[in-house]
Amino acid sequence: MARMPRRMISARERMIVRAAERSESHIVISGMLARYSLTPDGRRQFTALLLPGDVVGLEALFNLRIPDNAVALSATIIQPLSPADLQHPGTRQMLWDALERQTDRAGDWMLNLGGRPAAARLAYFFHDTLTRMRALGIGSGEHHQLPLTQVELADFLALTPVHVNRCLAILRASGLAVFYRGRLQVPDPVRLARFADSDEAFES
Amino acid sequence: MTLRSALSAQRRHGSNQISVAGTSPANGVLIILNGFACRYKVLHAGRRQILGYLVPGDICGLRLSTLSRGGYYVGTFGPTETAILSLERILSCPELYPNLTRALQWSMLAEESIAREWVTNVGQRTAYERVAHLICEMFVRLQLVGLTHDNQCTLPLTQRDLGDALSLSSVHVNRVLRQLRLDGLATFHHSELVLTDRSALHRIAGFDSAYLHLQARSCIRPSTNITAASA
Repeated sequence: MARMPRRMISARERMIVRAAERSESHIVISGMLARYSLTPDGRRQFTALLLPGDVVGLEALFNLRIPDNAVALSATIIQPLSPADLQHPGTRQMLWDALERQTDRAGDWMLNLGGRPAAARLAYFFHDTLTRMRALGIGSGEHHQLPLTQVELADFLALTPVHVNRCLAILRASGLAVFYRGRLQVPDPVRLARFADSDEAFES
Repeated sequence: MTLRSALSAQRRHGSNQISVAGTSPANGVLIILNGFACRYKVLHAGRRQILGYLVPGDICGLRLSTLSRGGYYVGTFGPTETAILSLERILSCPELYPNLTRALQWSMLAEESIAREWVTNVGQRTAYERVAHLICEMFVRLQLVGLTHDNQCTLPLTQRDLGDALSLSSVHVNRVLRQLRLDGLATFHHSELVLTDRSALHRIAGFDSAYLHLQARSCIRPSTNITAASA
């Protein structure tokens, strides 16, 4: 990859603003971001959680307008991409693989919002995020840093913050997951995954 | 020149699911030459979630890694003609297939962007806005490939097909479509969609076509390329 200087962005800094005149494509090196859309009357939907290896705003590399927004959720380091990177077969392949993975994940997210009741939806989010972090070697043991507020969780899950709070209580009471002050603890990921698709979750 | 040589396994389908898993080469892309299709997944309890619709000229990735992980399928609505292209072959020699490479890149970017917009649809929009938004999207995409006339187009979908894309029951879709008709915005009857008041429909849906990346698509027109390439 071309050695363009990496950029550091701080938590809650907006990285992409919809339809900005000048945007760049980046790959996430460390930290985490959320991609989000706003409806014209201001409803916010977080559409993707971006972790290291994910691409942000690949559109810009093809001179396309970026249709939505991105915000850093923690201190994050990103690597700008240049058109020259597309000439390199290895980098090119990596970018398309990342895009394909992200498309696939958006489909899963659609399914999660449309098909799972609230507590199961949250369980799926925690399990999926944990699985991704483990695969990337981020965090270790039972605790994982997931620096989200309940309002942000609500905007991921398309629930109200009050509803999120209730779902967190359900997961905690069932011993499935504890989420407190941006730290996630899951004693048994397999049980959490099972809950996300269980009849029990669909009846709660 | 090029497109024909990259095409393989040109096939016609009825209105059944295309068995994507059985296609070869596995790491390829499916291009819709004619007809109408969708990408979908099957959820717990057998519910189908449509992840995106595919219209003529659209390309849909068939990555082995994706397929084996999530088991998504491609389904067709009515007679559809498709072909398989080798993804590696195209992306690894952009200079050999310039139009095709651009079309493919556009398709992959738009597919991701549409999927994210649909997340917002399911998450934030009311049933009424959701149906309106999907109608706006389909009309614009069909218009781009010349499949609309005036304010009309054919959308070979049932109310259930629409519901499976919007996470709504067919009863709910039915009720919304009736309301859209009563409000003088759009009618959808026997696969014929008529936008009676397009700008009002866009406004109500909160529809902004930026996510479809039309500015790039307008200079690509895959359907045109196919004709040019075959000639």
